[in-house]
Amino acid sequence: MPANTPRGYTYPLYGDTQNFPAQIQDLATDIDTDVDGLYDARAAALYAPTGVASFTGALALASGVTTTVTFDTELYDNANMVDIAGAPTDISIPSVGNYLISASVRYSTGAAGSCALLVISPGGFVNDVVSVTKLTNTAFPTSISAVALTRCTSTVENIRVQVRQLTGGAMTVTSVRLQVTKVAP
Amino acid sequence: MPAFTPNRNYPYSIPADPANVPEAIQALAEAVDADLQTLQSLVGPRPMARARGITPVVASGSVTTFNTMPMEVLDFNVGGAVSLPGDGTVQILSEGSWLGIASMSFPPSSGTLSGIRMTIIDGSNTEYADTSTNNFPVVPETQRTMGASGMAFFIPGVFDRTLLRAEVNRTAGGAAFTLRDHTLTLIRMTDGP
Repeated sequence: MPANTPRGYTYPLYGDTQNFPAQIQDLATDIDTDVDGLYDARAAALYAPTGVASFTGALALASGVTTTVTFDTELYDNANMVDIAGAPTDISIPSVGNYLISASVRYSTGAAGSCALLVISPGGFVNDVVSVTKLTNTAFPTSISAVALTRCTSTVENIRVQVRQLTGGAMTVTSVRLQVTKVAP
Repeated sequence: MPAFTPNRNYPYSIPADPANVPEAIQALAEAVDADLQTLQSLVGPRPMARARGITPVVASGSVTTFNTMPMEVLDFNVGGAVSLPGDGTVQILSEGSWLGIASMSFPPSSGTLSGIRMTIIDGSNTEYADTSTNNFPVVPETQRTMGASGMAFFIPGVFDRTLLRAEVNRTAGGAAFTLRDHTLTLIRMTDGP
């Protein structure tokens, strides 16, 4: 009756029937499976699920209205997180874990007031991921960048970008970008 | 003539082989040893680096100027992640999706400044992070720092450069404006496409 090492490698005991070819094949196959799994684990660890989407058009934004950005371009996606055709407002979370999320948005020159970038996960473990508000610039477009580390506990979570301005006038939003990458299980 | 395992190609004896147990065990042991040595060489920290520029950059002349903020030193460079070609850019040395985090310091202005934008640019001249400010330090403050982050995909030899760019907007005839220390931290998030 052969025995196994803690990693599952099979070896014959003294009283076992001598069959060297079968026994060394068994051992070699066990090690093969184990080491191959280590190679796969290494590759997976370095291949973090990542999605990047952008909005390249021009979004007219009335004062005081919170608007969810609809992305039009998939820039990177190695885990089916971006679906421009089916769910263009979202980057979906493929598995439970901690995610690094960064986003940026550019507002046109506008009247004096404020503008904001909000990153949300509606109904998620952390609903309001990060938000940044800035004073608008009456002579120069205003860009906002934000980064956050958040926890996603469900694979039905979706990360979205919202924009909002309070100037009393109209503004245009361009160059929106959202990046989501998993950094830990 | 030994057979080989399906994944890692480890040799093992078959019944038709000569009965040479020591040689068969040695062949298997050496194959496993070499394979694990390869695996060990692949296991390392995630490639990451921080480049920094300390030489002030002066924005002058036109009302709007675009200045490359040159990267001059590497504060750390884990796993030989990047190099500095000497033209102010940072060269990415392994394929994947990288997170860039940038910062830039600026002093009080003389009142002729209307906006500063900082962008991180990839090898195809596309901005992948963007932030701006019109809120400037006032003496006795000495400086403020702005930050931005974003992700981009890099392929060595194809699209492998990234740089930090500052756009400075001043009123016509306004005084030159000096931008100070700036950093670009890069972390590889994915390995390959």
